[in-house]
Amino acid sequence: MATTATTPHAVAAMPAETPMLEVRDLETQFFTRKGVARVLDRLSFSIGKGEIVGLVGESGSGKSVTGFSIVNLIKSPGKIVAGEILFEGRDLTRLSEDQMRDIRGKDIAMIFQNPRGSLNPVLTVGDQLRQVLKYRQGMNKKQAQERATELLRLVHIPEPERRLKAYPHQLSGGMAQRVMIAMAISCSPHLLIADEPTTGLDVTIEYQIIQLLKEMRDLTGTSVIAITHDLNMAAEVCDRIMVMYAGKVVEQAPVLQFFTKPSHPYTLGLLASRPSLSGGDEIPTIPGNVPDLIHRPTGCAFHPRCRWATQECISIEPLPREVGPGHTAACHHLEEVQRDIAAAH
Amino acid sequence: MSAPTIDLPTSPVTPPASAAALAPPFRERLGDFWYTLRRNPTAMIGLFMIGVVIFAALFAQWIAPYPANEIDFAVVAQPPTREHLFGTDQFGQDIFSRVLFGARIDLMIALSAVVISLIIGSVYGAISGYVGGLTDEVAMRIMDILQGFPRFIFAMGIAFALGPGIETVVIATAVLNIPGYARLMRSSMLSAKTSQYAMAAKAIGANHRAILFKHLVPNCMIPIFVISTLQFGWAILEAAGLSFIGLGVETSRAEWGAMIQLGFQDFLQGHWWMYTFPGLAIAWTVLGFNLLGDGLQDVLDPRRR
Repeated sequence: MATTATTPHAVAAMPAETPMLEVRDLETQFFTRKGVARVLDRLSFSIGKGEIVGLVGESGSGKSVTGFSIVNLIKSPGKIVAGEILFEGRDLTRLSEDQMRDIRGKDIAMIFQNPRGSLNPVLTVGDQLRQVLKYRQGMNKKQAQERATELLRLVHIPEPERRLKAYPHQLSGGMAQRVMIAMAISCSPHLLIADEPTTGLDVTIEYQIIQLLKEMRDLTGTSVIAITHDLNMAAEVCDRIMVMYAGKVVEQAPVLQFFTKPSHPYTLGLLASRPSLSGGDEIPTIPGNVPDLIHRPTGCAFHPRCRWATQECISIEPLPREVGPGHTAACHHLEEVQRDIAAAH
Repeated sequence: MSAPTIDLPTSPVTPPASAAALAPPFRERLGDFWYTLRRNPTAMIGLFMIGVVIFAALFAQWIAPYPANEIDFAVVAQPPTREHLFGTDQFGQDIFSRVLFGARIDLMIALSAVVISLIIGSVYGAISGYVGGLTDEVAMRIMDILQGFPRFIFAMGIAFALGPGIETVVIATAVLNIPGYARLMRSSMLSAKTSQYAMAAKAIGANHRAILFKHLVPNCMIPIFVISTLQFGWAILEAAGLSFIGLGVETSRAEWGAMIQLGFQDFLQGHWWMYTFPGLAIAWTVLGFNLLGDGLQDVLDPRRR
């Protein structure tokens, strides 16, 4: 037991013996008229206590569906059809809706992109915060008011008393996201899922929100899953990064490893397609599109877009292989890829 | 296993106030609403007309020159004079006074009917839309059945079954208006329930009742309020109509429909004032509510501005 840990950082740095969240072979499918879309395909990963993990990938790679699957808020026609989500030893997929409701907010909180849309337009910020505190924490009116003020101060909202009386439309986007974060941490959740928390915010506000997420982790020791397609944001905030492609984790690595020794061809493509200040006019892109999830490619789902693809990739699905400590990648040709990178330099 | 509650210290640093943080002072929402409403002539005329009726209803006792039911056989069926502005009826009752007192009964009937149908219809429609699926389907088909009858014939049926009286008029009018509210609430609910704040409320662990009544219903109330002002007008027309055909309020009471009915008995004698003035009162009130309703629609729906 890490009883001597003084800061959550120390906890985060330690390889957790029992992860707080472990997803095993999760399959979430959408039953559409055109057929069954296998959005999450035997997805497995784990999150340690106090860890901030970035979940990155293109649109349609299943990042958000992963988040919604964990809290069991997949909308029809989507459905979790197989797999386990072990959260602090309990399998969330087996819980009843009532049990799950008890976990949402209290143990696992979620924040969304477009924070203003997440706030009820006819209730003041204070109404909404106090309501959560009253119902989830059993506080009385006065306690809830004090705590709400404190929470807003915690997320660096100036003049919290006045903001509590504001309606969502009177807040800026960054301010609204702070309120959402305040609401999310109000019940001291053990896991916070942030689904593209900075989309639609300008860069300075984005930076502040990222810092805030980090600060909240340090303060409360909560684990964070940061869903994003912004690698720069992921680099800024995460301890570890997982790359998703077509409903699978294709590569995961500690943040430093991830940027210094990317291994999966898809990761390389993602990193190459970041706009850079020194770069030319054209941003390199990964050729092709996200695969059709109803008719998934055989073997490795990335093979149609991969320049290293061989016959093996078309017929056999690659399993994750260890690249370094805590660093795995699912590719048949990791060695060739590394060799080619080295040759290119 | 109970989770340790983590004591959150107060924030260590105060960030520089960003430009976005310095929003203009918050104006009360109601103030905003009044501000836009005042600039809408239709709504203001409607409000004025209704104001007159409400004033009459509240202060009838003091404004009216005679009590509502003072029978005086010395002045039976008098045309309008200075003593009796709107003339008198077959029993010598002052029609001007009765029109003023009538505002009371008619507004009360309309208010009760609207409130009853609003509450029942909204809750019914909200649940129907929120639950969806087969429940929704069945609930809406029941409303279809109610709406399948011609409005007034349906009201007559209810009134006939219940027997004359004020309560009858209230109930019949309320039942008539339930489907309208239910449908309106359901359609707003269908779009509101897919909103992100509903999802966010779910993600924070709110139960169905809290999501439905705390988050969604308040967001669906604006169209309901707009329709209510229009329904007021309808309710007054329907109440008066029922009384006129003798299925509503008894003719002894000072109610506009009943007064028209009473006056109509003297139609052939040419005693026009007996039914004209209560009729004008109805027209005035209904017009007022309709104008206000139209105006509100413009004010509350920014797309129509």
